[in-house]
Amino acid sequence: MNRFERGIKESFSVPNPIKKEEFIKKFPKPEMSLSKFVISQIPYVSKVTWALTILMFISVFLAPRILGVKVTWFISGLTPLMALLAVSESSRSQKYNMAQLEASTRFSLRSLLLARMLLLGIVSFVLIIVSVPLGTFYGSFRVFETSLYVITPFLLSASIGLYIVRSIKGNNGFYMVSAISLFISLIMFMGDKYFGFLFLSVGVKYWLMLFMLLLVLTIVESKKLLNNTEDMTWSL
Amino acid sequence: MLDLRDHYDKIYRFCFYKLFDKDLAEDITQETFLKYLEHYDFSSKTETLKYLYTIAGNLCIDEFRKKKPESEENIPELIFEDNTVEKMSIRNAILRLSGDERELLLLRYANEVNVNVIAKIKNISRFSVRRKLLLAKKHLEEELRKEDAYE
Repeated sequence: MNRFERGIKESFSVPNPIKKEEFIKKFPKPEMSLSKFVISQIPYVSKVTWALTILMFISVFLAPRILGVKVTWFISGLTPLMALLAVSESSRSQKYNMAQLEASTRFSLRSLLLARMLLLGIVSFVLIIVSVPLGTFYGSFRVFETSLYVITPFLLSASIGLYIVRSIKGNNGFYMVSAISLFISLIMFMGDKYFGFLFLSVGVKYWLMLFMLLLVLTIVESKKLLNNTEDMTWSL
Repeated sequence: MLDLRDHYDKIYRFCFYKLFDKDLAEDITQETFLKYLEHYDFSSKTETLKYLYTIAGNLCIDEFRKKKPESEENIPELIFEDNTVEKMSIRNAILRLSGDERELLLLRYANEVNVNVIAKIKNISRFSVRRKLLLAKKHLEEELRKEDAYE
């Protein structure tokens, strides 16, 4: 803007509005639909998380060609890492001690957290939905067993992770979640070589029980994390 | 997202320079936001601006029809609190421009509305907006020269 244009801008002065503040106070806040709100959170999820998620999707599609029948172990080792990403993203505010600052912004931290958990939950769900048919087609297990071997490690990693980030604040919690998720991943990656006894057909009922238990635990821990955010007091 | 505080000032300025009545301009500004809230959401900034200015413009036209607004020559001086000589002369020259040119200059320079958005508000091409802006600035310069010559 040159001097002349600045002059034009400044010349359009107006008398101060009298009823502005009163109107702004009373003006109803526009409501945003849930889907729009969740989509609006996409840019706020860290780019590293998105990059790693894309990498996981690519490896799920490439794995059957490279690993053949062993693809099930690879996929079931990958899902705890997806859970790690989701949990670490959900606890980012706490990790960087930004939770209280974010709690004072336009949307409550609880709703932001819920939106991000939902977003990453949907992405994880898509990863699982894609993985199970691929694992079944190329792997050596039936759909039901493959589903259990893919989803249960995810739920195990998610439930433990959510519990830890809720109980242990800051970097320590994050490191612990990472270590546990990597450990679960490692066990699953090496499933066929060293832990074959875990995947015998007689053990399916125990896997199913574990799956149910972990599903409940993950839901409970997610709720607790959200409630914990709501009740948070100043503690920096 | 809509920055209500900022847009309030801009829509108010837009209405004021159409009606030259601060109370009426403020009433119409508020009515604009309420009407907008009834019909549209706040998802796209471009669409938001387009609808806000269109609603405000239409409401101002309705007011014109109801009653003749104050003559531009009779704008009370006291309403402008920053009457430096330079601003006064530019403002006087602006007030002598046609309503359409004044509106374009206000949108582009005072309210800093993007050319794309102005094109949507006025329902003309971007090229046409640029051409009209150049013409408006040229007329403004001519008016300023006339004023200097008169002094």
